[in-house]
Amino acid sequence: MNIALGRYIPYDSIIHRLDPRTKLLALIALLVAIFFKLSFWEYAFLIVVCLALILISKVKFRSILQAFKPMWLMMLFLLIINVLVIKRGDALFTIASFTCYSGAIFQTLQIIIRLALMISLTTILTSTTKPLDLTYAIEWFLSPLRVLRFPTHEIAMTISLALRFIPTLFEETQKLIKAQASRGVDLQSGKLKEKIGGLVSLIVPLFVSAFQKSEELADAMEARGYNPGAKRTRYRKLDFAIRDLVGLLVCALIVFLSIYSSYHPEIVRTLEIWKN
Amino acid sequence: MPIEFKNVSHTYYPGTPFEYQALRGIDLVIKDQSFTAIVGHTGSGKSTLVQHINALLKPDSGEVRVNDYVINHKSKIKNIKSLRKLAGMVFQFPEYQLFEETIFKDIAFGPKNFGLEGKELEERVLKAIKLVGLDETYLEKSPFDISGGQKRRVAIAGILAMEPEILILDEPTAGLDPQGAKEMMNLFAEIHRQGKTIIMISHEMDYVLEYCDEVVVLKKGLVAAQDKPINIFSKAELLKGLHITPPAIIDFANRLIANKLPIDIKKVFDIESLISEIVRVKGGNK
Repeated sequence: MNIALGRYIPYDSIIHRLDPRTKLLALIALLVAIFFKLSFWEYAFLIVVCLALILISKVKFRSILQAFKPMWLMMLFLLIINVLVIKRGDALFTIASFTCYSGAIFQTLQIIIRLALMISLTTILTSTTKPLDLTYAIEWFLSPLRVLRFPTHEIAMTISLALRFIPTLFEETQKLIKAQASRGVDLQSGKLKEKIGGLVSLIVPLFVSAFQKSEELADAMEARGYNPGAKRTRYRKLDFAIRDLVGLLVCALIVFLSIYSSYHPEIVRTLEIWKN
Repeated sequence: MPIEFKNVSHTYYPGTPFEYQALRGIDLVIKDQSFTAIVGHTGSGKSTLVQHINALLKPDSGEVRVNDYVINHKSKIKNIKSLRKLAGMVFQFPEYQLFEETIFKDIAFGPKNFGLEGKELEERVLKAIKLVGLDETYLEKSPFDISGGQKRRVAIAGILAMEPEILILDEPTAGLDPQGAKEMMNLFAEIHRQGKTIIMISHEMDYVLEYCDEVVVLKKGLVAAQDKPINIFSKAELLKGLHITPPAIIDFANRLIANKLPIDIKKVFDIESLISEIVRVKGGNK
């Protein structure tokens, strides 16, 4: 069984060491840039940036490709719809009085590049940042909303508890699969009816234990005097260092360059001329 | 047919930072119809080892032979179901695997998956629940309405109802009260007497000494020792090196010997045998 997608992988890289707030902000900024109406050159630029980030963060290309896996069907579907609907650009070829236009292909390509970039960048974030740090970052960004009595702490606590229990439930599922396999459940090659019965034998115990765990957790938290409204200090302080400032500046530059050049196509043209 | 491990290695999550080699070339023969205990420190590979016997895990290298089944890295095991019926596995805290509406259905789940039905199935379930010391009034109850100890019994009955030739137990007495644990061990001894092979992972050395006829000690994914329980427990130096606390009764007997009471430690395995040894030695002095 392979490890859950996008799971934190404890390598040591400059990206791992960045403040989670920096990384979250940078991700959002880059995503905004990606979803601007960019031309070919800006996408090429962003792809290079993304590849560089992958290399620096030591995330395996294989794990990023794995993250693409569930998307193939969606991409195919998009292509078909675009080909049917979009009638811009040059006519490429005609099958049985239906003409396919270059616009459709370009549009699809653009969406695919955007999605691929988005998934790669998000995977970089989740595999270089501990889930708990990420929730601290989210809580920090939401903190201004506290003025409006928005329960930022409760939300952050809920998210971090949910994240905390993903590996636990994953482990438990693995154990249950083995236990029920020992009782003759064959989830791989059995008949459909058997497989459904087999799934029930996993889901029921999982739910039972999840409810039990959450009750125990609530008791344990109350026993230690947990009060969501209380003012709290934190064991781990987020620490905004020089490298974070540098990181944010680099990110801002990347975002600015790609958006600016998309509004001023003459820059790229000058570059091309200059190259010649 | 004995169970044979030939140079078996197993690594979890190979090629990732989570990589962990649990078994590093295990060579081991578990005798047919033995009551074998597997002991060792946490992380020594005990659970990984036993999960190879019914092919829940496959070795990265080497092979495991169980009767006619050969489990190795490449082979896709034909008829994996009948292997799992042959080698019944009771996991740690098996009460978590209960899920059916009634205890009857839950115990019947295993044998039903292996193709049993009708009258025969009913008889199996009845036999199994009596074997674990509960009666038929439980059969129509929900497995979620009974106590923890009873759940454990029902879960074990669910495996016993499959009538495996090899019974694998992963710390079956963990978390039970002393009385319940003792009853559980007597149940396994009874099944062993019926000619089944029992393989038990345990941290309770007193039970290992009293019930098992063979001990395999694992250390860091390798077999560190394999012998009769008394031969292992009577060697204080060996035990120290393996981080195993000897059974209380052996500890006690050793102190008697240290105080110049010449009892034969090889004859001690529970309180009664210790008493009769003391009587033998003391009686001779009169």
